[in-house]
Amino acid sequence: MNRPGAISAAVAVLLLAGLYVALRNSTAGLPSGPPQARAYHPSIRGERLVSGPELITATEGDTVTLFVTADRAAALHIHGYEQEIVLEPAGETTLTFTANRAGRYGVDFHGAEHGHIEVAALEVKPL
Amino acid sequence: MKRAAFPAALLAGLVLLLPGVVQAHSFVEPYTLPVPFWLYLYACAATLVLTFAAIGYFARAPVARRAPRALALHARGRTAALTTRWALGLLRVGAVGCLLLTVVAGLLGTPSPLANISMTLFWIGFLLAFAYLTALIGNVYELVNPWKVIVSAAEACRIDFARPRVAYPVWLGYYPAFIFYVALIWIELFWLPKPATLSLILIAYSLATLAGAWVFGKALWFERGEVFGVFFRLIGTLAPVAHEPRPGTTSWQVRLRLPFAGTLEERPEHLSLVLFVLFMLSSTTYDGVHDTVFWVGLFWKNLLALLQPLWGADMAKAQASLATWYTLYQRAGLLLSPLLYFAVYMLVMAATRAIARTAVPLRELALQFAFSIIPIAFVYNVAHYYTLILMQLPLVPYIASDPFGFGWNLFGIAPDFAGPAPLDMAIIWHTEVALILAGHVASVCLAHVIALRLFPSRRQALISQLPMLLLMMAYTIMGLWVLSLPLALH
Repeated sequence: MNRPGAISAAVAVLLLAGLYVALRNSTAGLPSGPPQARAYHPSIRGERLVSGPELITATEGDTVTLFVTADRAAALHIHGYEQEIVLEPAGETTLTFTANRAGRYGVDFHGAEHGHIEVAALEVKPL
Repeated sequence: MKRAAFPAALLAGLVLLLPGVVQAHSFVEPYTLPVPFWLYLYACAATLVLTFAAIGYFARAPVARRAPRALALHARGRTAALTTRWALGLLRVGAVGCLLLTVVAGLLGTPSPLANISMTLFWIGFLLAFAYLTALIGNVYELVNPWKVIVSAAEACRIDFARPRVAYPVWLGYYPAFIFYVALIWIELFWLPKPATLSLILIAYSLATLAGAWVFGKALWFERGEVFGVFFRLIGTLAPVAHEPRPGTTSWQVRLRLPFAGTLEERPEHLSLVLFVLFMLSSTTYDGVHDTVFWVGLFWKNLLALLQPLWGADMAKAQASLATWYTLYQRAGLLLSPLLYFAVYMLVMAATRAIARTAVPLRELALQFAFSIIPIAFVYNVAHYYTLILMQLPLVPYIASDPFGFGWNLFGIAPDFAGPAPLDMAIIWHTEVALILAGHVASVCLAHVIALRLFPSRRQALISQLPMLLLMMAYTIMGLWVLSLPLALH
């Protein structure tokens, strides 16, 4: 490579590396503590989520507990994690699992009338 | 492992184990999580830094007037030539075999998109994996195109496809391929077919291709009407390998060249090909954006608030018509995206023309610079879809062993499938960002090389590139932004 090319490349590489370190440390806000226990209370009426977050978030290693209430007998299925629970009408059903895989997964409601309805999503951030 | 015990249970298990079936834009739901905000910020800053580094380089680098290095290889001697011919023949038969397998499996096999080989073969194998392979090994598709093989077979039966019955109108350009491309992405995003539907679509497309080749002559139709031929030809320009006819003979030779150099060797001859290139980029961007909270919210919050007089205040009452509007909104977005990208590109070219004070006509400028966008379009496609290949790869042995979903176990594989291997999110994020940045640098450099060739002075060339640099930074930052957007529920 010729001289101007080498200088441009060297300056660029230095800047890129410096920026990467600076940004990762300053704004990353990466949770680096011990695994936490997280609880969510989704409530489903009809085939829709009426309360509780649409996005269930966790960090890899956390223990997630869902306290699910529904007004009819159905199943709740978390894709990827392959967790499925049968929901009892007029009651609270509990599901606990370890979020050991990062990624985004659909949380589907399997009612009698329709097949799959995504009522929420689980996002597990990597460590 | 006994045959009988195998498949039904396994396939039922596979279907359950795999995340997300049907519905969404793909039959396998990719495993992605939006890129975190800090990485998005970093990538934007890196885009700026790399762009300035490229300007710094081109401000002083020597202008290469000589032809780029290339090395032509061809089979020497009778045996080698025969081997090459046999290998090529085998690949051609294999290509037609894959097409037939896709169609037959779709028609006769299971309707489950995951268990039927046709979906994996077409959407993942052909449209993604083979496209990425093409960027490495060159446009092999041109040599093995199954529809070309079928036409050759028909010619052997004395049906003449060489002579055009109707002269191909110049204005038609690449519009047939472009329209097929839009239809393909439409099917992918909104109407992902069941295996049987895919087969019918492929049969219809095959008939259309044969009809096009018969009416307009095979040479022009395969160049401008056959969408996959155009698609792989554009991607092949990135490869360090070119496959071309050997001068003075009927055989082919392989020419080695610098990566990306193919985009400088040719330029589109018609604006419709520019539109095709831009749709490669805009369709992937639209696929990325159309299920995000941003795009969905734009309709349900902002647009509906503006249109309130049309539907009244009672959302529950207007539910049915609003759902129809939403469908229209989603589909119109895809159709309008290439037009918007084209309009912006032409504006940038007009600005280039003004700022460089050149007499080169606008159309000529647009044609000259169009291929410099291919790297950005390509890397964005890879960043967006490569996780699908990784997701589907562990399933390939099972699908190959039971291609129709009839419960065969041709290869005697033990059904110990443990679900797709977890992909490390941090690796996915960093790969996506690195790919997009690499494509950006390639595109910026290619556009500069084109400018240095086009304009007499270095100063004029560098100044002319300001609008194009802004456009490419906009494409790149837009691509990164889409990757960082939170996804909406389906």
